[in-house]
Amino acid sequence: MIVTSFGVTLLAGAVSLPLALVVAVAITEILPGKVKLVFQPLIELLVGIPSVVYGYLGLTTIVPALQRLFGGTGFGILAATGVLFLMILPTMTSMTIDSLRAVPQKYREASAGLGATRWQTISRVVIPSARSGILTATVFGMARAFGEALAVQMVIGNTTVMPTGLVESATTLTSVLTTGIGNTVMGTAENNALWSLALILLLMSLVFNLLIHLASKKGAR
Amino acid sequence: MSPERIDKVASTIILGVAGLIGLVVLSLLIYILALGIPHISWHFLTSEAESFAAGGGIRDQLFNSLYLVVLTLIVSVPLALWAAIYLNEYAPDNQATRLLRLAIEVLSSLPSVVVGLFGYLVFVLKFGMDFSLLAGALALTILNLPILTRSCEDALRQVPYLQRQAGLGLGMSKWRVTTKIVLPAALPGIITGAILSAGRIFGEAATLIYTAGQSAPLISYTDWNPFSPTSFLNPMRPAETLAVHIWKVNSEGLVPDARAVSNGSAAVLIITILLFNLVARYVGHRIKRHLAK
Amino acid sequence: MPTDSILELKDLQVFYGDKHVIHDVNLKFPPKQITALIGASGSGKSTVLRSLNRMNDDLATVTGAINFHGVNINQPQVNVYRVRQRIGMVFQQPTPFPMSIYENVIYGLRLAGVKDRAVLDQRVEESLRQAALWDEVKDQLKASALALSGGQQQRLCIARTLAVRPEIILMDEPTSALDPVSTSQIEDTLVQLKEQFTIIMVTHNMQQASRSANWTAFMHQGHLIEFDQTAKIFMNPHEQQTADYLSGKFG
Repeated sequence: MIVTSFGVTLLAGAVSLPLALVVAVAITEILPGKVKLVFQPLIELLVGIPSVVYGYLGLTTIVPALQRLFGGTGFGILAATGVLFLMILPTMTSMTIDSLRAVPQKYREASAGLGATRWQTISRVVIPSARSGILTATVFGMARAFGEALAVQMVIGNTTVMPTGLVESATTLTSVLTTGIGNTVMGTAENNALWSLALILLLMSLVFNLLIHLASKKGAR
Repeated sequence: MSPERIDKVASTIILGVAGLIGLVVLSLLIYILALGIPHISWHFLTSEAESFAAGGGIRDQLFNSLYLVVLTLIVSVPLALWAAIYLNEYAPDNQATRLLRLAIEVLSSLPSVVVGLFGYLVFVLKFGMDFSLLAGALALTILNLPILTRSCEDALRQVPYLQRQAGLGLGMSKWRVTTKIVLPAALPGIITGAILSAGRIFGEAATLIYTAGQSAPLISYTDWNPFSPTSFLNPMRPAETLAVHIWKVNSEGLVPDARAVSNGSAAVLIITILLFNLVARYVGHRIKRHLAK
Repeated sequence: MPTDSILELKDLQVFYGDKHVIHDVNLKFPPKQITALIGASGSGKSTVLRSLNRMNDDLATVTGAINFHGVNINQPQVNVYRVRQRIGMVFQQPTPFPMSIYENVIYGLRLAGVKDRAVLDQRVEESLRQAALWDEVKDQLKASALALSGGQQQRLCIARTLAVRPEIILMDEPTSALDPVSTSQIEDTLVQLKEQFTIIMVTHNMQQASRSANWTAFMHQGHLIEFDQTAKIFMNPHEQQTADYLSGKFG
């Protein structure tokens, strides 16, 4: 269960990081300024969409698609990853955009003055300078993914066995909490186990907090 | 390959991938709206939900969501404002203040399900509120407070230091400067922050399952006495919100038209959030222009 | 006008959108000399300078010919990145990248694909010596360039430009962000560099122009008013506007 939680989080983070970076680079470095006026409110809207809607979106689009591709029910780790990816991508993109914007314009000029192409400037100066901001965005996105409950619970299938494949049903810490707490009696061993899980979740979110702190501090130096 | 060629190829790939992602995300959004909007009707918005039969509406859920937003804002705006004024205007720069800030930051990153369980333990069980709107509003306040505090602080910080000095130079007390000069100037930022956070509260579900509950008992919209158990204004009644409704219908629901109900609800949810966003933008813009004059 | 030239401007015009900001500039920059562009702020001297290695490509429309060794480099088919490797630029604000001193110096070489460690090491020492910075930083090449003082940072930026061995170095008010001591260090460096490089610099500091430059061009409101040897411009200007500017009547 914990393995699934981490697996889903890491997968979603690993997929979102490069894509958020690509979108952010396209918006800040390549597309003209006017495009920003269209993208900014759109990304803000996507950040604000509730996670239940993302979960429902996964239920109506991702799960059937996976079902067609791999057979089985379609519920499982891959579906959860897809939903979390959709959910954290806007947040990560907007944070990455902020950190790319924070790179002084004079770096770009100086690099161009030395004969760098735009791509050379982006890959050698802009992204390395924004490294800590991008790192913070990634950890932040993964923390959100780790703590997300309902969206995951809706598409992961909810069976307490160790999954053997990416399209097998599974559970995460959060999904078991949402289904379990209400269906067990206070004080029973099962219920107590669930509260321990909640504690683990709480501790994990503190660990993510610490990581975010480290990541942003590294950049401040 | 020459650097110029790599530059061309890289730019093309970046634009292509970015465009593709934009297209996919946008089409998903449009897809869900297109599924839901045809289902939104006057009947859908104004009739109560069905437990087992098709054709249920979302009247109670929609009202509960809005009412919960109002309740939460009533609790959290004064608290956030008070915290922001303290942190930005009065707090000394010492270890204790830094600790306070850290605590707020940690609070803001708690998973919403953890906040929900905390609310369940403390408000619902310990304080004996049972599943109620009030317990939900308090739990949402915990979730909302750090974010709202930060946006209030940002708004206060935008007020130029010179204006404060001018006030103090005229012999006004610090408190008067804060209430008469700083707060009015920071008002647009505070309002924008509150509206945006309203959007977030509106769509929150995980916090509410175990605080405001998942049931929508019969309520009467003609009973204006907030202490009557069936009054729509009674904060002590359990209440299922729109976001919780979507989740519940899909994971535990028995209604035959779950898809149609969720499609409609999801569309209503997105449209409402969009409205909150637009209003926040409009208000921020409008007041900024007003101040610039 | 000098007889010999490495870079020649013919009917240079610059437009920002519809705004015509540089009118009919004709100039010949002599090789291995320092040429100063002077004039009030807004006179267009920086705009001309930035056009010389096509740094204005994205911001403005530049017409007319810029002949570098007799080849017009102001044409779309010319590889602008190669142009900038041969005509380097140093900016007003020191702009070291957030990396080590060593990595900063070899930045341009890396862009060009140089990987041989021996070449890189040799080029770092040579460039830092030319920029009169070697003795101060030779023991801390791996340290972050951002830890250097403002004057050192600017000399590092000069070294970074020198490392790609350009023929011409463009300098946009290279000392205006620096204190007097650093300024005089950089001016000394310029005189040394003139042995091997052609230097074109924009300055609003009259003393700097008269101390360092062999040739001086005076610009006013987008027009080139006068261009001559520095001594002649300062002692015996031909045009009334030049004399007025130099005597402080405007600017």
